[in-house]
Amino acid sequence: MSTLLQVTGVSLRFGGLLAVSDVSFSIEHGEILGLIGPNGAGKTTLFNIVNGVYKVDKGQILFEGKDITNRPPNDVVHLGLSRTHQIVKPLNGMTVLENVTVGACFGRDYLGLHPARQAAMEVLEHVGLADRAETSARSLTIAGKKRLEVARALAARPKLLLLDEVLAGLNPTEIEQMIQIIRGIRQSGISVFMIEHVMQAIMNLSDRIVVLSFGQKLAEGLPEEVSHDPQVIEAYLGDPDIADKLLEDA
Amino acid sequence: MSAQPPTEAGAPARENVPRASHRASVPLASRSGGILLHPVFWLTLVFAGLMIAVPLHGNNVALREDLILVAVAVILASNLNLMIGYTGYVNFGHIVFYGLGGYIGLYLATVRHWNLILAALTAGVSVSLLALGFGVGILRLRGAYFALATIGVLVAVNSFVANFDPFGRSEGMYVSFDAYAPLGGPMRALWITYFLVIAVMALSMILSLWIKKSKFGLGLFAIREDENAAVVLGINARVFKAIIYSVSAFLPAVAGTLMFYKNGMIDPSIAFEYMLSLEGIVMLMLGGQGTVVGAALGGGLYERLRSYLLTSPRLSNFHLVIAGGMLLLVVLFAPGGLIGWLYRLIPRARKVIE
Amino acid sequence: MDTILEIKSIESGYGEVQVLWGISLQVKPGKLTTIIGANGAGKTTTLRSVMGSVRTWKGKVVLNGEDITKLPPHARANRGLVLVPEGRQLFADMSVEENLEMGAYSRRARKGQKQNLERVYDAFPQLKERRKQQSSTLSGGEQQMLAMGRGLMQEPLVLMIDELSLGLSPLLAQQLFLSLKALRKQGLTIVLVEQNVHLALALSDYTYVLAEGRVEIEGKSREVAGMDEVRKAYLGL
Repeated sequence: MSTLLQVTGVSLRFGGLLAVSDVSFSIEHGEILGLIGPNGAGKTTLFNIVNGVYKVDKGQILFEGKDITNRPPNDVVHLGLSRTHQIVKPLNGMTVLENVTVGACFGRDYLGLHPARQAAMEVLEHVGLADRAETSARSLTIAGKKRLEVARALAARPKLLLLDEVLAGLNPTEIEQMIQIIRGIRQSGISVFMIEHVMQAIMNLSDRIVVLSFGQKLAEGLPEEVSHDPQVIEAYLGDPDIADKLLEDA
Repeated sequence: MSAQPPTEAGAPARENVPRASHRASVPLASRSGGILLHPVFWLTLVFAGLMIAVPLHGNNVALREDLILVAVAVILASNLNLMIGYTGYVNFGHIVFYGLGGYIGLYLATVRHWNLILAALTAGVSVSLLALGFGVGILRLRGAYFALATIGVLVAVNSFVANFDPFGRSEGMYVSFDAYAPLGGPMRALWITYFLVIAVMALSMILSLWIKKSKFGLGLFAIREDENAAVVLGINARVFKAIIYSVSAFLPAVAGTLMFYKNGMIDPSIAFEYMLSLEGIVMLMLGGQGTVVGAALGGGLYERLRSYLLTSPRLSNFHLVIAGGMLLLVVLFAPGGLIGWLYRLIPRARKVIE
Repeated sequence: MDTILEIKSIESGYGEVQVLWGISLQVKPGKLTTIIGANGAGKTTTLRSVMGSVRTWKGKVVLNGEDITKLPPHARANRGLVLVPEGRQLFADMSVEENLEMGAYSRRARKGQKQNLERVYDAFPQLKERRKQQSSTLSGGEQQMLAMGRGLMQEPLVLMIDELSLGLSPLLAQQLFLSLKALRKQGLTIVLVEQNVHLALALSDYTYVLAEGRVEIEGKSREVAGMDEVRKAYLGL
């Protein structure tokens, strides 16, 4: 296994707030890396840094050995890095097929309209939206829109797919279906970097986990390890000492 | 908290049943095949053919004068459509291309005695390049700020021209009769410029169609729907926007040269008619922004209405009131314009009428 | 009376997105019941559904034996159900005292306004010192105190608090929790959503642990405190 993505010492400050502080990690070919952490930890900010939406103050990002630090998002797509958004962004005035065609047209392969449309139909088959190819994107349910977002990112033929809370707002059945889709994505050789709050799902899906808290990397390792790490437990469950002090004074 | 924004409670989400489509927006037709096979291409040629043949046949100068105004309206609306309807950027100052093109072309044709067509094309290219320059600056702005900046461009160019000696400052330029000599005298010149304007009109529509069916056009529509999403999908929005802004300047500039040459004079107030800039938007919205046929229909219909109102003794003062009223009604109740309404009535029409 | 507030199989959410998938709680009078769970589990949505600011899609809310599911929030407040919301939502331009007086706005609370004001000032002397001060100029902890005080002015039967310790220094959190303890001793029924699991378990009588819009664990706080399932509800594994 070789390294697909290498993030080293990345920091970003928003005004007075250090949103991301000296974060380093890597993603190998063919693995699913999960990113968890309490709210406000900087997870989406980290995604935005990796795919070029935000510029870093410090640090470096290498994709397949190439330096992509601070490269604009439309550039990294051509290198093989796609992403979905926490709040989905369907191209509402277009049909499902047109949405995915856009992904195929401007992705890694720069396909022409015709081949792009064909590639798009194939992707729609994979995610189970083929029967809704001609419906307008705005008429889909939330589950449909999430699938569309994934399909559109896949149409760019990425090597690494960033999924930002793709399970949020889905019912248990839809979560199961989406998990299958993600497993299928990994099987086809695409690495996945995912943020999730649906903990059971991400812990079971991921090969490894990175935990972020207040912009810093708190822990990294196998899901089993991370979920029993005392620092991680404290980040989620709170400081145990406060309670002790309180009970003392009771 | 994660994705769920706390809004007021709504209806429960049920199974994966897609809800019915909302009001008409402007999807791309999914027809494949080159534009040469497209009905709208042939419609354009027929339309242009009729506009040439009918007045020519009866040597009907009055009709020709009416139709040339219609053609200009279609040219302006169609090219404006590329910015507003395709890319989602509202250009309030688009008349600057027409006026500046008129000035440059007229100067070359009459003061420098260039061949008319060469002068027109050069004007087109010059204005396009200038637009590219301006565009790179103002296209960083979004929404209302961009719209304001386009007015700024219009005002700036207007002021510059009004103080520019070679262009006659606020007096403008006159075309002397001998400038028509290379075309065989004024009478013939009027007919020739008419044919050329019709050709530019047809080109505008065909260009609109070509772009809409192309990959570049798909990228533009993606920018219109959600520019941030488009960038994340690999579209270099900055470059795309600059290109289309520049392209949308070319044909109006060429038309400007032809029209002011035909009219025999140009000065800042008639070159940069602010109201005409606004009316271009009304035409486009009325007909159906984002569609080729809509721009043409809106241009043609509005121009006829305008002419009628301006020549009517009672209503001529209300011409702008009516224009403003129509814009308001369209924006509030039928943002897809006439063609959008047609799409809702006959959904199949979407695939044929672009 | 066995249960003063009961929530039966509530399903609700925002717009198209369902958040609660069938929550049932029983709150006993005079006890402090706490709701804990990871972000996104539905804790705030649960309190909002009980209060009526989020419409319930399915299920029932019963207060003091009365089905209040169809009632608007102000009607529920008039019956003694009070919510101190996350983010406090104070009247920033009004003074401390004015904010407290606004708490006694409803018919129910107006009669006892003077007495309740004294009681709140006794419980929170800092508020008394700053009674004329504009509420936006108070510190975080004082604002939280004011929010609670305003809640108390409404003469609650059941006081629901969404996030007490969030953003507060340990010292201030301590102080607030002690006052909460005192209120419980006086017989007030309290429902508390709390970020810090240890605090919540230490302070409360009964605990509900939510995960993904459902009740994962419930039980006496002392028993729940020892369970590894709590950690699992937060961390998934």
